[in-house]
Amino acid sequence: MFIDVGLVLKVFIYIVGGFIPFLYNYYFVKKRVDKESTEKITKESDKTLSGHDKLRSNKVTGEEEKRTIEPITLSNTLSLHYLGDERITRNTATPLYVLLVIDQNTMNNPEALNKVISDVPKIMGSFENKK
Amino acid sequence: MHVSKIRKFFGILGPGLISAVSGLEITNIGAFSYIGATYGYKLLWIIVFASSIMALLQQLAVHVSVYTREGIVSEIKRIVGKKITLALLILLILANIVTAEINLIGVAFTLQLILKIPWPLGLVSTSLIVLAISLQKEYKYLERVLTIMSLVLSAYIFVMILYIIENPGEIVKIALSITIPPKTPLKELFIDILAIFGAAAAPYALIFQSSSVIMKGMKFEDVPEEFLDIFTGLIFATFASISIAVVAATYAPPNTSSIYEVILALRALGPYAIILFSVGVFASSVLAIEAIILCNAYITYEYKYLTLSLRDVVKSKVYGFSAFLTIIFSSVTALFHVLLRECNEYGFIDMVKDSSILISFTSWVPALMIVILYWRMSETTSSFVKIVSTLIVGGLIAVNVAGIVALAGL
Repeated sequence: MFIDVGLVLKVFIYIVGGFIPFLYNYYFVKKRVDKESTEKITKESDKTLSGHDKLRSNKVTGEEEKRTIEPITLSNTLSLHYLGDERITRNTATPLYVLLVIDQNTMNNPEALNKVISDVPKIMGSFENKK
Repeated sequence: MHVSKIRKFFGILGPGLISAVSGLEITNIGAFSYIGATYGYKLLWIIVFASSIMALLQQLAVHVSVYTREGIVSEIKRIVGKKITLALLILLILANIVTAEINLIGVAFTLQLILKIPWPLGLVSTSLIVLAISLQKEYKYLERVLTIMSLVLSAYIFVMILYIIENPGEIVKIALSITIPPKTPLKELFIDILAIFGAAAAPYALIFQSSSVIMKGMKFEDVPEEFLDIFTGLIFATFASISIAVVAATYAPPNTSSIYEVILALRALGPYAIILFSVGVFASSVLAIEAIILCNAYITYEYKYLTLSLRDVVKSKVYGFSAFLTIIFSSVTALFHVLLRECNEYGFIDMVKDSSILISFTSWVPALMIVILYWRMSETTSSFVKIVSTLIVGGLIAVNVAGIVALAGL
């Protein structure tokens, strides 16, 4: 039986080079997203179950390192004015607050966020050196 | 269906559909009209093939931008260095200028045909209008009006549907020529195939895709929805492109060469054809040139400084320079293009072919950038897509090198 190799090749390139990878990539990414969201939900539920104990253990670890990490919610930036005011902070043992202003893009990227957080001690070190 | 579900459905469809319709500009209309009028349905499959490749590259642009959180240019600069990035960007800007110049020529010739305004005057006035709009910076309302105006170009789809209703047998012929590539001497049609790729490419669209992802602060879980949007755009763009070729194959003269003959393909619409075509071409060309100005400003800013949202780029000085330089270069190129071809509106299709081929020569640039970045992603990537996208970019480069060699007569 005669097979038109040229035509078969054309059809192959047409299908494999065009729609198939497009559709495949869609389902591939969708599957990954679904998988990640399922994992996230599982983790969240685990957290809820042992949340109280975990919080307590975190606090202990922090105390061991003589540092506590306390989240600050800013409702108004004016509330931080005293930090720059020497009349208030002079001769007082005020705690050092590190304010990280993180944009949404970085916030959504775990790698970038980790990098920013891990850079904090370095930045603080450079401030200390300047003094 | 529940109201919120309907809303969600149209929410997904809306942007992709509208951007696909407004993406129909004179390069596509001219090139696909020529292909339809000259070869009938024989090359419809290449239009579909080129559109699907573009859609895959758009997918990768979205995926890469979500992962890197940076613009394509910034990332590429980090990987291949400043000099190579600059060379790639120059090629990209050249493709953009060629796209802008053919749009200016299209509007100028349409104005000459309808209002009897000499094309040089039409060229200058259109350039000034586009410059004035872009320097306004806040033209969101106008942009919406232009988008709605450009929707009239979907008249091609309407005419094709009318034709198929009258001749139901044609749908089988069209479907067959799309699914099974007809026997054609591809080597002899090589340059025309390049023109199809150039018309379908719109290299600036990939940069936009990436910048809009960054601007929206899209997360990985939003990617499938964005892919659906691209899919809608792909379906509509392919359908519209096929409509142009089918309508031209049916109604346009076999040796279509002028803008008037391109409009003749729409004669089923009667006296409204010329008005609809003119309004649509003017609106889509202005939109395309505005998009090109923004793209040039965006990549220049990103190369020189850092990744910024499109909104902030518009507020920067770079945008003003980009608008001014893009318009100057495109108008001068348009003027030389017409003079070099020694033609009036009767050589319009030849000029569209020249521009499409030139755009095709540089269409691999953003594709190459995206594929390099895709390979560097460690997670959530597929090896199959990596290999296919590399073959696509390799194929694009090889085909374009062969095209340059063929045109140079080597």
